Amino acid sequence: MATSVALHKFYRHLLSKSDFPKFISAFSTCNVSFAAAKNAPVAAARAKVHCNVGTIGHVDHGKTTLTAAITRVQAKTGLAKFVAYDQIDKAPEEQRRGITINATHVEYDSPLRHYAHTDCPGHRDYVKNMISGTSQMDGAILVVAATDGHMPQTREHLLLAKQIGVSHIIVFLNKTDLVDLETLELCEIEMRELLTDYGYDGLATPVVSGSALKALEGDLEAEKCIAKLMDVLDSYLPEPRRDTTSPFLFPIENAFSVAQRGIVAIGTLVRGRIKKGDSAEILGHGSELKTVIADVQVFRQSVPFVEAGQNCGLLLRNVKPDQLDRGMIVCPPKISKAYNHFKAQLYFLTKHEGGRNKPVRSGYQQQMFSYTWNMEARIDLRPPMEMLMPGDNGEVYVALRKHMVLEPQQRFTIREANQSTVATGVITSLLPDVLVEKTLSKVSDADLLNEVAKEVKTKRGK
Amino acid sequence: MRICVLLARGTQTLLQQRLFSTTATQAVNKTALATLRKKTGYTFSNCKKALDQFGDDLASAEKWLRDQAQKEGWAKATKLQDRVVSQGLIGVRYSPEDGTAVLLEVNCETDFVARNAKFHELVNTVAEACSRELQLKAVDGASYHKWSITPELLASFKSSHDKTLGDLTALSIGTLGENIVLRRALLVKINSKECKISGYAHASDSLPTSKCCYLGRYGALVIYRQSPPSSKTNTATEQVAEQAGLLSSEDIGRQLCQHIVGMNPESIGKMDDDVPEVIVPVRKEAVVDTRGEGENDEPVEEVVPVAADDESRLIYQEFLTEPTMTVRDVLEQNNMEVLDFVRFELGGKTQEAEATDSERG
Repeated sequence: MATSVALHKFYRHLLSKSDFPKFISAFSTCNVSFAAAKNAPVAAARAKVHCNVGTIGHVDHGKTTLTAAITRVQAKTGLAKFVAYDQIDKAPEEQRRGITINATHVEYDSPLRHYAHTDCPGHRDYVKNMISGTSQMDGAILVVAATDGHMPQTREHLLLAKQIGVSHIIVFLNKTDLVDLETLELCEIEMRELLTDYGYDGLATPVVSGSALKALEGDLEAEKCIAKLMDVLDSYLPEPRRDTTSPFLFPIENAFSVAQRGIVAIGTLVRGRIKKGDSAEILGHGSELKTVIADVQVFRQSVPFVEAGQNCGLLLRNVKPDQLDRGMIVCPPKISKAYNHFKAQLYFLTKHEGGRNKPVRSGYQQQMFSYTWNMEARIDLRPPMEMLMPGDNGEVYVALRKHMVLEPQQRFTIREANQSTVATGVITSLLPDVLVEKTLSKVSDADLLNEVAKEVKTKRGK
Repeated sequence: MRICVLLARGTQTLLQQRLFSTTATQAVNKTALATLRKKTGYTFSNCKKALDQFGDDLASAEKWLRDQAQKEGWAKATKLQDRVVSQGLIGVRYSPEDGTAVLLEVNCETDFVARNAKFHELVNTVAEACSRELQLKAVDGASYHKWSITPELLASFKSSHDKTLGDLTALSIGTLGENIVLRRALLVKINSKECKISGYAHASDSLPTSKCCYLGRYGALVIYRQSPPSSKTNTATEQVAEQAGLLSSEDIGRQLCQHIVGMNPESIGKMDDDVPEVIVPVRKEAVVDTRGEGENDEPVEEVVPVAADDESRLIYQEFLTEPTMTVRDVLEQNNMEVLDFVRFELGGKTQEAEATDSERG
């Protein structure tokens, strides 16, 4: 038992050190975030980095109180608009890409960053949020009442965070005004152990303790915990990567010939930056072409480069008109690759959301849409899953009739013949190619679910 | 709660006093608190209270905590009773050997709790208690008997540890800190000489299955009769079944349940239409139905039975496992007849009509 005390001292020591990385974030102010510019509560936020955070934790441990307290404390210095407790807790149903998600959003600033703060009531809401992909959480604040310690379902909260790709967790030990120091210390040790058990860096995870209720009521001493929490958010959560620095990705919307010059492909640059003279590859629909960007045009004016978000035309060298097709991707050589087989998380819309009213089983074939392309796709459920109901989400294997440029985290939708979106998904990992001879129905099950092929075969009795 | 807060504050001052007197006591106390919490899993404040009463006598403290848990559970249950419970699980437990089946729903506040092993354990225990209750019931000569159990009656059932389900639920409320409600249960007993029973629970997340209890967000039971194929046609039928890639009757029963979960039929549909003379009008009707929907432009001349998209009669729906066939085709091929089915959906409506014992067969 003496070891636990010693360990604890070590943690404390680490904690006091964790304040140092603060200066790193000072460099971040030069970055521009589009999201921040749109919704910023104060004009100064224009220049701030935008981060998405969420709160997770047991219903009675004070998530909403904490959120309200943050806005109240930050509002004092003009960094937020105060949102009262009862205004937050309504959990309105909001529509995102046609999907109803139970979520509340609050925003506030730290001196360095702009934060969009999400809270969802349930596991399924978080997963839907992740799949539809509008706000990938950069970090989560796990709220635990020090009076109770972690609850049995805290494990489920951590599993969720893992599942939706939250790599950074900050622990807020709440209700510390009701416990003594020893309990608080034990509670902290316990949380660090639990985090480590679930694959997080329990030793490095910042733990902030305080009383959200007191801070909300205006207790000056208690407000310090909010300031501490904001510091930790700024220093511990990594800065979201700027899109203009990643390799460029340009999905072709359409293409036409310009007399004596060549082929111009039109589209919107999804990310990165394209300069005149860049060499590039054109991938998708089963073909692979090499080219050079001979010219970049915006509104028919030649420009030296374009950046993410801009609509432009690219003059492509060495390409024939019949070689290009809508949905092909222009990208730097040897960066992207075309695949026809991958694993994904898929959410089926409910009837109410415009989706199907019947379940889906393995072998389901429909059109998949992503960027500017669509392609016939076959969806197989991961065994032992036998069907997915509307409103369910699950892990699936997808095979495409032709190779397309795919990468993990890419979002897509599935639409049925009447053009209604029935599912939305996110690619989780890319798999070895499957052999598609003529139709997707004839692709062998063994290829589709290679690591679990045996199970499926016997189940289907084929 | 106020008392609890005061108590916690009281302990705080007590401990601070102790802290100043000797550092040794403090270390022992902290270790004791950590041990007790780790061992029992009860909240820090309760462990603290226990140690406060029994000093370093861990055994007594633990015993006190366990005794206290039931009381605290009920107190918590009373406190949380008005909170909305929209999540939870459907449990399905059936035993073809005993001819018994249980379909039940337990609700909680968030799906985080619904995913926790402690909650799964509670649902399992409820299912087990229902099965034990079923052992005492008799079918009284009927082919099968259904009992709809009210939440009050359900709470009075005893678990194998001789605690009522109500007590166990209160304990779980104490541990998980959420309102939990035993919402409904349906018990079925069949005369196994005449009919069979099958069940299925659907969950998109992999939930553990233990002691024959399946967990999910949907569940269904189906009661069916299978006439033994006459010895002459026996081998022929088997061959046909093999060719069609069909499975044993248990598998079919399970697939029927899956179909019921997925396609949500409202009624079985009349098997009387099965007489050859009636087949044609039925087919016409099916065609007319689809034309009425405006979703199918097939000419009336084509006498292929097409299941309408919104067909609510089980036997006329297309079979989920093999959409080229209707459920009736599958039943005919296997000499089967569906006598009854029940479908539970999480948060679905409880059927008041089923409140009274229904007896058929």
